[in-house]
Amino acid sequence: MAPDEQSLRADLVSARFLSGQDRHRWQFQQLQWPYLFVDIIARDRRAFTLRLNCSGFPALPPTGTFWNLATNQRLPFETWPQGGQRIQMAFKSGWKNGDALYIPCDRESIAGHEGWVAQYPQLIWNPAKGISHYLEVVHELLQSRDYVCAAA
Amino acid sequence: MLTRIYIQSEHFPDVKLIEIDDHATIDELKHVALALLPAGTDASELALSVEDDEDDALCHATHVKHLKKEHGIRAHLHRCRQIEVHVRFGGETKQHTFRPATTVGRIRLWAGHHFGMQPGDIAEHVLQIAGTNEQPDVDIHIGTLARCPACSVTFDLVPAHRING
Repeated sequence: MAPDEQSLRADLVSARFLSGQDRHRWQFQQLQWPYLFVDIIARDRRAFTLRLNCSGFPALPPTGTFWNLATNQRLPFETWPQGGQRIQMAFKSGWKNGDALYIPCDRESIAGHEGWVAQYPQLIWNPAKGISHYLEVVHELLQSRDYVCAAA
Repeated sequence: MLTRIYIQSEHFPDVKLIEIDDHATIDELKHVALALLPAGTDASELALSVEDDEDDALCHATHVKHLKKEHGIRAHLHRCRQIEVHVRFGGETKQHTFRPATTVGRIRLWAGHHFGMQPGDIAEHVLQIAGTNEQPDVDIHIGTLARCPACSVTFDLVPAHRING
């Protein structure tokens, strides 16, 4: 097994990852190397599946998007999380053709945004925090008041 | 049945995980938790407390099964029984003492409430350790940030980062 896959598998049983899962913030679905599938729980308890490409983990940040596991395709844009300016900025379908989230800890999105390192130090990929870092950033967005809950 | 217990301490920076039988006693739990400490650590004054335990459940519990919580058991090893916390915002400072196992997220809620913020506004702010740009995660126990004998932490309540483009 390659070192990056080995590192990710170790991270998936780490205290930080399991703690987030026990707090019902996310739920592991499956690993099909190099893709990790994890459900992130939103404020209205809806679960959005992320597919993260974790090649190079943890030295390289992951990159990913919302996914439909049933069809094994990217989640249709009309069913992505909706919300105010903050949500629209992070989850904009026009960015990288919808294949990456517009957040500083995403491998594809940090490229060309070197200024983010100084602007958003807390959101820059931190290998020491592992995959939970990316999951926490998305979870925090889905729990924010900018996120629009599904109609009851 | 094995139960997951997440341990934090002034003696290590990140959360650690142990698994222990439900029927283990609290003394056995403490013994296992102490084994996580770096070699040579003086454990004689360390006390175990449970996260956000306002009812002091640990005083009445004899076994791990009595501590069971919906989101897992989270405990803390610290020499201080209380941590003095100061939070600065808008030229004012609020002060309160918390148990070492109190999360940063809970202290943020307390501070936001005492500064007159609405819940939605509190979520748009974070606690930053005074004089640094360090913003501890909401799950970090306050005891992790305050090493005995200081037993105090000062934060600034600052707006959370928002990506502008």
